[in-house]
Amino acid sequence: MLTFKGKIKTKMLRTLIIDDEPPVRATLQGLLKRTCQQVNVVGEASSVASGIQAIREKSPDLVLLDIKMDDGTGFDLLNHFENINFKIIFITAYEEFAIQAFGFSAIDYILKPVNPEKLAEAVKRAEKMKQQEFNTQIGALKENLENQGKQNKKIILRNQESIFLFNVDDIIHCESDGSYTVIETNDNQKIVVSKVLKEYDKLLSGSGFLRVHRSHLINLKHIKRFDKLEGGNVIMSNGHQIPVSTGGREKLLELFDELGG
Amino acid sequence: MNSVKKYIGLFILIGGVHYSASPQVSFPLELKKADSLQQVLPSSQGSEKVDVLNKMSYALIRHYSNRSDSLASLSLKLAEKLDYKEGKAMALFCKGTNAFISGDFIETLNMLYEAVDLFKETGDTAMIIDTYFQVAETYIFSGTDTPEGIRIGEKCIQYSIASDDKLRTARMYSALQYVWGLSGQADKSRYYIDKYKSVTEKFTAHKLESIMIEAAIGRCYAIKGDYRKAINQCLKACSILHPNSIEERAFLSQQYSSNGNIYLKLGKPDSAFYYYTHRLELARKNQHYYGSIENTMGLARYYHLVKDDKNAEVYCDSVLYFGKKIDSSGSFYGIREYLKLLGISGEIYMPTTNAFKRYYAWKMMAQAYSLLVEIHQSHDMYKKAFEINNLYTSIQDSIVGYQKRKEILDLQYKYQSTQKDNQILLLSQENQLQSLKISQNRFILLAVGVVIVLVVLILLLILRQSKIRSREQVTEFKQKLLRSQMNPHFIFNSLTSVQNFIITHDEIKASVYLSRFSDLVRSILNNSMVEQITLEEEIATIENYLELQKVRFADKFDYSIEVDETITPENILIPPMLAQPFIENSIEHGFKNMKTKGCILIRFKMDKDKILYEVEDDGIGRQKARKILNKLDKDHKSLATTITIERIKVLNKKLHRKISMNIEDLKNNEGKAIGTKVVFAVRV
Repeated sequence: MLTFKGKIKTKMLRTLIIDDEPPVRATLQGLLKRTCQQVNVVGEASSVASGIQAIREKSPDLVLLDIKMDDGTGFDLLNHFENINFKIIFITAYEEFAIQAFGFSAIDYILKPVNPEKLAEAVKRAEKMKQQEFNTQIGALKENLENQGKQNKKIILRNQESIFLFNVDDIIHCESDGSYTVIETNDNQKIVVSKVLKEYDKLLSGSGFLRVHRSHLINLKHIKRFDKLEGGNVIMSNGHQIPVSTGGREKLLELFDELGG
Repeated sequence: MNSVKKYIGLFILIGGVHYSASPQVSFPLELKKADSLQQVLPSSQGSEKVDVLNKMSYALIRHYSNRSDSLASLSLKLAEKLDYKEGKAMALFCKGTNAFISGDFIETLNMLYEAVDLFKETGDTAMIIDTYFQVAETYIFSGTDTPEGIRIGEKCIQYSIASDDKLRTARMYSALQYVWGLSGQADKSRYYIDKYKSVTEKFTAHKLESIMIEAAIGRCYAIKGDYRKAINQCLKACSILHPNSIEERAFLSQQYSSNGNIYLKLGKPDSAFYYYTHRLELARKNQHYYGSIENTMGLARYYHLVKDDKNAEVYCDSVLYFGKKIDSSGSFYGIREYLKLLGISGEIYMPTTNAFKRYYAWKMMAQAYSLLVEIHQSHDMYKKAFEINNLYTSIQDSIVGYQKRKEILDLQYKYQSTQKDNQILLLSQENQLQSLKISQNRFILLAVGVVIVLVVLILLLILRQSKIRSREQVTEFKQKLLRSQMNPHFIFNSLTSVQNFIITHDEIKASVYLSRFSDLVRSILNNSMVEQITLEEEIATIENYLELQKVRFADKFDYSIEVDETITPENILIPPMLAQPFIENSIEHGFKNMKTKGCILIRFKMDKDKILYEVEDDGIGRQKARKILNKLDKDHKSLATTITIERIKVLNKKLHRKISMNIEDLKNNEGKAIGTKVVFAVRV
C-alpha cells in the first residue's frame, strides 16, 4: 500500500466508479473526463461485492459510490472497511433517508442525473479534504445511519479551518449571518459555518429545533423561559436572549400548549 | 232458600262414566276428539282453521277451561280477520262459557249475547238455542237471577219445538224441571218432567239423565210432602246406580243423604241414620267433600232430633270442617285425580265454578252454624251462641256477597232488554274505537315513518362516510400506484442513461430515449386519470418502459411482446399497466445473479370472453429472489403483489369486471426454478 502513496503526489486523483447501471457509470466517466482533469478513473464496479474487490485492488483516492445496488447499498460496502483511506462522493437517484444522513455528516452527494458543475465541486472538495476529517464525517454518518430515528444524533459542523463533531442536543442556537450560520453550543463555542441558516432549519427541524425568527433557529430543549413581554423573547440555557417573531411566537405558544396540555 | 237447600241432595244426581257419549251432557269432555283435531290443526287454513280451533275449544271446555279459552281467543282473532261470522260466533260461545267457569258472569253474558246475535245473522237455530241455554244456565247457576234464567230457558224450549229439535227440547225440559225443582216449585217441575218423558219416549235418553229424572220425580213428591212416594222414587233412582265407579259412588252417597233427609221427614230417624252413616264412610274415603258434608249435616240433624246435642255438635263441627275444605280448595273432591269428575248432578248441565262450589259449602256451613246456635241457646249457653252467631252472620255475608252479583247482572239484564239501543251505542262505541284505532294506527305509521327516515338518514350518512373513506382510500391507493409506476430509481437512472447518450455524442439515441421517457411519463400521468386504456396504448407503454429498462441494464435481458392474431388491440380496453410491477420485479430481481441474459415474454391471448395477459420470465424464480432480498432487507415485502391485489379488488368493485391474477412458479423436470409466470385474466 505504501508504494501507492507515492503516486498521490502525481496529483492525479485515482478514482473508482461503483454503480450497478452501466449507463450511469459511463455518464460519470464521461463527465469526469471533461470537467475534472485531475481525475484518473482507475476502474469500475457494478455491485457491492465487486466494488469491495476493486477498492482492495486499486486503492483509489476517491470512490464515486452508488447507494442502491443489486446486492446491497453503498453503506454495506463501507462496513467492509475498518480504515477508510479514500474519500467518497455518494451518487444517488432517490434515497431520502440517506440524504438526511449526509446532511448531518456534511458529506457530499451527487444526484442523478448528474450536474457536471456539482460533480466538479465535490471532486475538488474531496481532493482538498484531509482523510482524517473525512473519516470523522463518515463515522458520524455511520452512527447516524445505525441509530436511525433515535435520539441524540451526531452532526458535523465544518468551516474553513476545522471540522467539529457534536451531538445535536448540544447545539443551543443557530443564528443567520448572511451566507454564514453561527452555531452556539452548550460548551460556549461559537462555530461559523459557511452554510445558510435555511439548510440547518431543514436538517434540524425534525430534531426538536424551531425557527422562532427569520435569523434564529433554537433548540427547544434548551429553552429556559419564554418572556412574553416586549414582543417576546426566549431565554436559552446559556442565558442568551433570542428575539421571537410574531409567527415564531404563535408556533412557540402552540408547542407550549401541546406540552402543557 | 233453606227449603230448597234441604232438598238439594235429592236433585243432585249421579254422573256417569258414560256421560261423554251423551249429547245430553253439556260440554262432554272429549279429549280424544281434541287430540285428533290437534293433528289436523297445522294443515288447516283460514275458516277451516277457525272451525278446528272452535271444535277443540268446545271439546275441552268442561275440564280444560284455560286451554279451551286460549284456543277460542285464537280462533276469535282469526275469525275477525277473515270476517267469518259463524266462526266468530262459535268462538264467542266457547269464550263465554269459559268466562262462566272462571266466574266472570258479566263477561259471560256479553259474549253469549254477542254470539246469539251472530248466530241469528247466520241463521244457525241450533246454536241460537244452545247459546240461549247457556245464558239461562248462567243466570241460574250463578245463583243470581233464576227467574230470568227460567224465562230464557222457556224461550229455548219454544225455539227447540219450532225447529223440531227433539234432543234439544228434551234437554231444555230436563234443565227446567231441575231449576224449578231447585226453586221448590214441584208442580212446574213435574210439568217439565212429564214433558221430558213424552219427548224421550221416542228415543233412548242418556242413562244419567233418566236417573236424574227418576230422582227429580222423587224430589217433587218430597216438596209436596208425599215422603212415602218420594222415598220409593229415590230408592228406585239409587238402584240404577253402579257403586263400583268412584263417580257413581259419590253420587250414591249424595243420594243416600237425600234419602236420609226424607226419612227424617217421615219420622224414621233410624232409617235416616242408616242412610247417612252408610255412605258417609265411603264419601270420606273418596274424599268426596260434598257427599261428606251432606251426610254429616244429615247426622247432625238426626242427633239434634234424637236430643243427642253432644253428637249433633260434633257433626256440626264436621260440617264446618268439610265446608272449609271445599271453601279453601274450591273443589268437591280432596283427591287431585277426582277433580275432573262430576261433583254434583247439576254439573251435567253446566260445568260449575269454584266460586259456585264455595257458595254451596257456605250454605251448608250456615246451616251448621244455625243449628249450633239453636243447640247452644237451648242449653242457655248464650255467650257461645252469640259467638257462633257472629260466625253465622259472617258466612251469611259471604252468601249475600255472592248473590249480590245479581245486582250487577240486573244491569246486564237491562242491557239485554235495551239491546237495540245498546247495539246502536255499541256501534257508535265501535266507531269510536275504530277511529281511535285509526288514529293510533296513524300515530304508529308516523312513528314508523320517522324511524324509517332516521334509519335511511343514518344509512346515507354511513354510506357517504364510507364513500368518502373509500374515495380517500382510492386517492391514497392511486398515489401508491403512481409511485410504484414512477419508481424514482427508474426515472432518475433512465434519465442518467439519456445523459450518457449526450455525453457520448449519440444525439439520435439521446433524442429517442428522451422521447420514450417523455411518452412513458405522459402515459403514467394519463393512466392515473383514466380507468382503462386500449390494449394498443398498453402495449406502447409497456414497450417504452421495457426499452428504457433495457438501456439501463444494457445486456441484462431481452424481451418480446406477442399478441394473438384474434385480438385487435385498438378495440380492447384494459386497466393500464396491470403487469408493470411484475415486469419491474423480473428485471430488478428475477435476473439477479444470472450469468446469462434474461428474457421477458409478454403475451396477450383470448380465452372465450377473457383476455389473458401473461408475463413470463426465465429468471431465478420468486423463492430465490425473495431469499436474496431478505438477506439485504429483512422487512422486505413484495410491493408488486400487494399493490396489484389491492388494485384488482378496487377495479373489480368499480368496473364490475372480473379480473383475476395468478402467479405461477415455473419449474423444469428436475423441479428447479426456471422462472415466473404471471397471468391476468380480464373479462372484456
